[in-house]
Amino acid sequence: MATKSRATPWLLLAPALILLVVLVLVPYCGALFYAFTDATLTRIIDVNLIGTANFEQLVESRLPPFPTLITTTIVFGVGTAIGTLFLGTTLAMILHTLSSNWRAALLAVLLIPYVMAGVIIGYTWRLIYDPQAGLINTVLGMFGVGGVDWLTERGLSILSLVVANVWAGSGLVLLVISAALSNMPRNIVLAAQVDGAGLGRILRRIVIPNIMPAFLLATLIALIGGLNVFDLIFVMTHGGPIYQTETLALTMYRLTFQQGEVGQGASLTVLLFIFSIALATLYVMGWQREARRWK
Amino acid sequence: MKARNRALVIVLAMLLVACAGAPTTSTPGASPAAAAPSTAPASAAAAPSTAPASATANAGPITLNVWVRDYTLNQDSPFTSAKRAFEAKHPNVTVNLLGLPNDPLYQKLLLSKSGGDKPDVFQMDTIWLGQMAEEHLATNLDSHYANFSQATDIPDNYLASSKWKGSYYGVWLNSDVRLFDWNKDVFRKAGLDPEKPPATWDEMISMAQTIQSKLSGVSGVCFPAKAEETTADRWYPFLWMGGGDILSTDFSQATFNSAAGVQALQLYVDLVHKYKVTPISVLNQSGDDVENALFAGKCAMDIVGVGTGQADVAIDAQATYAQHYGAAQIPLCAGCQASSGAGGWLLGVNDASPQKDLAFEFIDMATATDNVMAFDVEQQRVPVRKSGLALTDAFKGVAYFDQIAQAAKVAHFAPWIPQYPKLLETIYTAIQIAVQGDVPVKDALDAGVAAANKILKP
Repeated sequence: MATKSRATPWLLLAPALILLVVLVLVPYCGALFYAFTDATLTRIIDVNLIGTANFEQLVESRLPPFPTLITTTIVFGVGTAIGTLFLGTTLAMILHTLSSNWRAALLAVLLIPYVMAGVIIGYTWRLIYDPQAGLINTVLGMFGVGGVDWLTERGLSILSLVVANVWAGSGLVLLVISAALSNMPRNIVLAAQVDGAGLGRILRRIVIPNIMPAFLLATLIALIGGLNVFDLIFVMTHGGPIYQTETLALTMYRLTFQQGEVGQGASLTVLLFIFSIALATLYVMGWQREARRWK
Repeated sequence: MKARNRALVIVLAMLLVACAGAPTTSTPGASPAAAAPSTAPASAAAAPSTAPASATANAGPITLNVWVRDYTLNQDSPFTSAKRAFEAKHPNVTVNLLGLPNDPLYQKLLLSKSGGDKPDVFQMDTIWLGQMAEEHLATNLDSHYANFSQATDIPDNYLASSKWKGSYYGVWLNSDVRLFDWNKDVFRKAGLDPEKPPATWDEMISMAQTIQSKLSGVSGVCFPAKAEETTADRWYPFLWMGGGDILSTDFSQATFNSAAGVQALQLYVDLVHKYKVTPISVLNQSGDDVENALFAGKCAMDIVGVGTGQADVAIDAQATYAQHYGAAQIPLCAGCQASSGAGGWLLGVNDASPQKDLAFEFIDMATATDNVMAFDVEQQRVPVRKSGLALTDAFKGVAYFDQIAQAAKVAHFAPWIPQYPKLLETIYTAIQIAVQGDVPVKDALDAGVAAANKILKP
């Protein structure tokens, strides 16, 4: 009987676990293996183990230089995370002040960008940024500001991509924070108000500590989401000009599918995986610290 | 210890969930469909290319898998008509056509080497030929060419580009050439003669300056400079017209930093920075983007590939098209030779196909002038048969066929070496670096050539 009860949770978890193993773990293990081989698109079975040569080639690459690639990836990932967290959290807090009917309706509207395909978002923002006919330059033109090349000027192009991705990705943060705010006991806030606490103090002492676990989770999702973005950048800039907007995910595609170097592409996947592991570890450390504070 | 294990489990679980929920990384347009596996018995391979229907009649059911570009299966497809004729001739053969976009076709072909579905016949871009031959995807067709009646009908420059290391690996289907296009409406508004395109670089610059001085919001000349293939492809004619080339004749060394290369790239840089008739935003514009800008009247002149410009215009709308847009030979520098670039498609036989003779017979049928002409006319493609080029009456509805035919005579090809996908990157990066304006043209090209030579001789 005891054996049966121990097996029950595993049986219930089995469908989800099998899917995760088949769709996530097995491909990751495959990528890890290929990262140490000379696999190409035409030769993915009979491959030779070549040690860390793929990683060495990656680090020595000049098209683009590896430090530039890492910097661009971090700037895009962190920029996206900061932007989506700020926008998503702010919108969630504003929605929380509305009646439940309005909140539900507006939440549905604000989630639209999150459910749209990245390719469509990319093309839409390309049009918005178009230097000659785009919405932004047209509006700026009304105020006498000359045409800005949003996607070709160094520095500005990565910022423009971050803005587009924040617009696309803030829906998930909004959803997570909204759920956390809904679960927050309302009487604590009311008690604080009775005691004369201002908005700032309520936010700092009650709201933020209450939503902190959800906020940490949203941070992790936003960061990993930012690191993995491919379609939006591919459509908007193709990683250019001169690799200025090329991230690890884009290089992985270029090496694997345009140049056929499966091994080198897989080595980038492994790097992305290591980044993700590091971020997840940081998340758990933060989560445990928060949990200890509430014990 | 327990806490550490729990933490590890939580990290992995969170990572799996986060990664599973991360935005998708699907390739736009990548939707390879499955093809039915070849069911041909090995005995079918013995059928000669000129086999009568009876030769395959007793061989049992045979499936011939043909992988082609998706758009070729629309309109008057040379493949559907060839399929009908082929299946009528060989009642036991089913021709299974699979249409794919460009990148998925390329990737599916390469992946087929490792297993899974394999084509018997496949369409390949001219720049893939060397790679397909080296990877033993395309089979050596020398023995088939020996009895191939169409061989003498193929123009010499095209016939030469069907070869890799002295042997034939593909049969030309059709081609496209690069022309100079201009927007006649913009010319009219600027007070220029809409029927007189620039013949030289100086005229082009002068006209562009006139247009920009008279019309706001219109760029004089545009060219693609995005991080992708068309950037290099549209620049090549300027390199070739000055006597330069991308590689040495034996394909062993990169040579695009020659005096002709510097002159060609300096033109691009000057158009952007000296004459200011091209916007710097071309750094994020592909050939299609530039072409759309021309059609929208945002750009007065540009270089486009035939098959991407006029090809979008139906034959019955060609006359209207010609009222608004013009196409001519690419303007020349002083002392330069007329030049154009050519691309296009060949058909190959898979080295792993158990029915190579049948496959070549299908190619023979599909590429024959009488079978492919309707498609070439509809798509405004360049016929790669002398007999097709001679049928000028068939193309009389195509607005600028005379210009297309003229350009085909002076057309060069991008090198069809296996390393071309990597080489391409060094060329368009050099162009982008120079156009951005921070690095002298010669330095940008030298760096590109150094990177290209590393690819050619690793």
